[in-house]
Amino acid sequence: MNSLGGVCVRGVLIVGGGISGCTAADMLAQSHIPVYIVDKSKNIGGKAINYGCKATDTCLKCNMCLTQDIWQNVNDNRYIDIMTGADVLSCQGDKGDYRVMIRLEDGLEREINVSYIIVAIGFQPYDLKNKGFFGYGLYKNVLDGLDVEQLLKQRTPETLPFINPSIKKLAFLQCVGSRDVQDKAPYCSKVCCAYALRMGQTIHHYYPNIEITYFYMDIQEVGGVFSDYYDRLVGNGFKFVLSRPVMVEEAEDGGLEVIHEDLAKASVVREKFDMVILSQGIRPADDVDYIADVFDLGYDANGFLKGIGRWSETGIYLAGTAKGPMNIADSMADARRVAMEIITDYRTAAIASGVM
Amino acid sequence: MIVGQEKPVTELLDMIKPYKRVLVLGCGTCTTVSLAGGQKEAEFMSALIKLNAAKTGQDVTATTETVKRQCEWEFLDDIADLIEQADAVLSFACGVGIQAIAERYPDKVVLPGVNTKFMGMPIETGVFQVRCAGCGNCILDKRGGICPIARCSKSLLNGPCGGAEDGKCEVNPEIDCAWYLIYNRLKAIGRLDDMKQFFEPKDWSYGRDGGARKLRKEGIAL
Amino acid sequence: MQHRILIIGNGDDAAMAARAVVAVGMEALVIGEGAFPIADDRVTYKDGWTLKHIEGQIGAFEAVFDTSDGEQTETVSSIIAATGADMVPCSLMNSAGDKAVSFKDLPALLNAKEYTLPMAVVFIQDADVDDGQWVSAIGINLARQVRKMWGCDVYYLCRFIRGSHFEVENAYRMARAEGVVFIKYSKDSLAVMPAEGKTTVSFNDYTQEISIQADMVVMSDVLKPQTQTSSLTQKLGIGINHEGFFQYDNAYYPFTATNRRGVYVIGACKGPAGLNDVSGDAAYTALDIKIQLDELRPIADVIAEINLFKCSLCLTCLRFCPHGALHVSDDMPSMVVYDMACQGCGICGAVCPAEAINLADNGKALMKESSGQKRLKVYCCKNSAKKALDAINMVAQLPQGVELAEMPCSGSIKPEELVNDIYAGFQRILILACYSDACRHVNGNADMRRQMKALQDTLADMGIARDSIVVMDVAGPSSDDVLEKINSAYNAIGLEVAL
Repeated sequence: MNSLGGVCVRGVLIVGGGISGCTAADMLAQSHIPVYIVDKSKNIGGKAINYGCKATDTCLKCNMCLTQDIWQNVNDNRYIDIMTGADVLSCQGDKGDYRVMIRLEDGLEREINVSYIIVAIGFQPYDLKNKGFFGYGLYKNVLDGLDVEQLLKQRTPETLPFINPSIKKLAFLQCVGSRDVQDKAPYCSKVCCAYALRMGQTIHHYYPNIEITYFYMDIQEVGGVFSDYYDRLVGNGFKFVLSRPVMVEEAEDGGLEVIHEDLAKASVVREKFDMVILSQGIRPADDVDYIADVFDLGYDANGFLKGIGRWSETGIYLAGTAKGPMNIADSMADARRVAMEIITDYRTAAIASGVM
Repeated sequence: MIVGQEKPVTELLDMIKPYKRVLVLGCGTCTTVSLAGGQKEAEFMSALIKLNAAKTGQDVTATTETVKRQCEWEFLDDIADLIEQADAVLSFACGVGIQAIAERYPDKVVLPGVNTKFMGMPIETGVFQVRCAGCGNCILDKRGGICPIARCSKSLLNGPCGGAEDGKCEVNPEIDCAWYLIYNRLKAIGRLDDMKQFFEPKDWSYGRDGGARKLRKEGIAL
Repeated sequence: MQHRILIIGNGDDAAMAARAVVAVGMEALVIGEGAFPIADDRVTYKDGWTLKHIEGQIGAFEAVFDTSDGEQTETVSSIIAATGADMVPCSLMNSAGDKAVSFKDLPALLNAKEYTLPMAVVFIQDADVDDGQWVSAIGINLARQVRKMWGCDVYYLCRFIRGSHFEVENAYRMARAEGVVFIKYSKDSLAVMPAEGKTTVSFNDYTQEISIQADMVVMSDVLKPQTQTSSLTQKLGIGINHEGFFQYDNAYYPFTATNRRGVYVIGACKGPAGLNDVSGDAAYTALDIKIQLDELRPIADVIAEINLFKCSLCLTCLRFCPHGALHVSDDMPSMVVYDMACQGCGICGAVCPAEAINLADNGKALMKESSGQKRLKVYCCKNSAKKALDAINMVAQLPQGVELAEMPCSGSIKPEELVNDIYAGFQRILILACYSDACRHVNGNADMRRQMKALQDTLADMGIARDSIVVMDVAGPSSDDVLEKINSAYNAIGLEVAL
């Protein structure tokens, strides 16, 4: 319990301490609203905290730098109670008075009483085991987008940790696990073109002699200031191949071969590369069904969470990629918007009770 | 404003070489505004003098002070003791301020830190351009508010030389032809007839000629 | 207190902004040219008013307008620019003949009572620029309507289907099922020419040259900044990007808030990206404004302070402040700081020729003092280098001769500070600034680089090596990179001494 303009208020439970959850927590705490963050992993920060900066000689607006204030603020704030390694067991009550049972890391159970709940459980990356024919986990030079995001964090002034001198040709395979009806993901994951094009530029900045090829269906918008992105990259010497590869195999000399259709030749060709990066898509979080059950939520056509009833009536909000694919900036904006709605609600209540 | 430009650091270090105690004196009016000799520049120079002394093993001390206007003795009187203690004053004022110190402190060495350039204004951040030549007999009323003496490279009074191209001066294509500007402005304000006003060759007795000029402000001057 | 928000623009974006503002209990003053769709007693619409200039800061902006009744001044708490963008026909329209219409004009034809049924209609997207997903959304839905109403052959030519919005992907799938033929053409292969009552559309589809005889060609419009955008950004003191839309090309301005606190931009005036979620942005902005206004407080712990006696009113600070936080006082011969607008970057203090502006301690704080021989002094921007070092807790383990100072922005560094550092014995100074386009204070890093270049020139004239001052770009998430940059700068000194 804490005060907002003198009224004692119950706080807000945030399920998931990734960038969305933490952004909302930061906003709420700045308005002196008590926040509980429950995260099943050992640390807060979700996936984004492990992503690296993609700047070349200029910023590529991956927006990672915007997240840093958030982690710091959340860790330092006395209005925020963080429970890591914890699970939500049950939720009872109504808007304004929810009682949520949580199993803490040490196995003990704790009941918290909150007015609002924000479900920000994030996403899981597409499971590349479903596309075993791309050789992920089998060949060491087949990486996925998430690997590279995290490896970029270890960049140093002269080197990228995942590139060695033997890499001369590198391919990005787009839409791995996205826009794929057979794979039950008919939607675009929104972020992969952006991250892959940025990664390509970062790699090119460090190693301008590496030949970079993108296998794509459609290059999506990368953001407002980048509408000329594609053309600029072609100018960099990047190759764009309109084709959806069918397989990655190890070549006899140890390199990799991407097997794909060459439209102009109207035939299937094998092209050699030294490294392949799979731009894997965004899928609903692995515990999405459990969370939907606990908080009585529905699903959208793609299996992401959707509220049942109006948020303002249930007091249970969704934020960030729990709702569907989103980039960092959009997740932050979404979480801030949810937090602001809740803050405004608290204020209205405080004014109604005559204390503000 | 009077626009100045800091002298190259090597020239200044050379200039102060004979002196041990140097007062670096900024001026708080024109050279501050023209970013050449305010407190910031004075402090920067002081720091450079100290650094150079340490580097070359010279025994030099630099003191920094800035007065509101070096061209008025009253402001200089306020720092009389600082000036007295110094072997030389490195002035960051315009030429007027430098001379004001020399006149007020006849036995003191005064050194110029700034090259006084012209009377002008900032046309963009950090870029200044001349606007007035101080000719002493203003004709801006007949020239659309644009001075042909200061801004025409040839100071032509009665029309362009004919060498301009696309409105740019033949002497320096980076600057606008003053007469091109005058014509356009007079046209815009419907006073093209002013162009026909003919001026005899400039009587420079109001300006540069005739020895050091002096001005009495009637009603104020005693 | 009742907050009143100025909304500039009278199109769809402005209407969404007005609705959002009213929804959170604030009032809207809307200006534009022509009709405005909202009639609500909390919304005041002023037809024909144009903004002349603004003064003041969040909570109390004085906005001056040109109106048919002369100049009018209104006090508003915040400002939202939602002026939209111009839809310009793509350049191929000029040569395409009278069978060509733009996306914008097609709905009128579809609604017309009499028309000759075409046999083949070709839609063309991405002719001038790679269109955004909102263009795909409009075009695909129009193609479906044509297919449904006229039953003719419908071809949809594009370079990319931009379907990152779920609805577009769905519409694309439905359109294909309904018989719209999608073809991707390779760049620069497209030509549209009138020929014998038809229009020939030829292109390369990555496999071969193809020609289609069309009865009608429908081409996407290109989104262009409005002509007033540039002057409006100047009046509002906010950024403009390289394509001429609102907002700086800067990592810190992806949202609707601008570099000037209390001034927001939403919708198409931000360019194609602004169209992705206008209603969401409007709601977000209205809430953001309300929350800030309800408890208005400074956003920086330390803000600039002006010494009234030293200020020479040279206006340099006004020209450099990225946040519109300085103004000429009405009643004193001095500049004054807007306390709610100042973000404490210290750029004004670094450029002030009169040393009249200060942040406490120049905004600098020691993170680590050197002990023993002074070797390397590192200035760390608190938005990047400091965060990177904090994240790995390695500061204490840096060599003894390294001293670290944090600064609010690299733009706050004064050249004389560095000269004094060298005088104090430091052999090298390393400035760790943010990458270009990633400065929280817009151009602080670029301002610093110019000053450092001039300083290096001056020092070189004195026989002091240029690399006594080294500037490097870093980012907060790249801790290893920052550590290695410090170590290598330090080790380079070691080598020099050994030689």
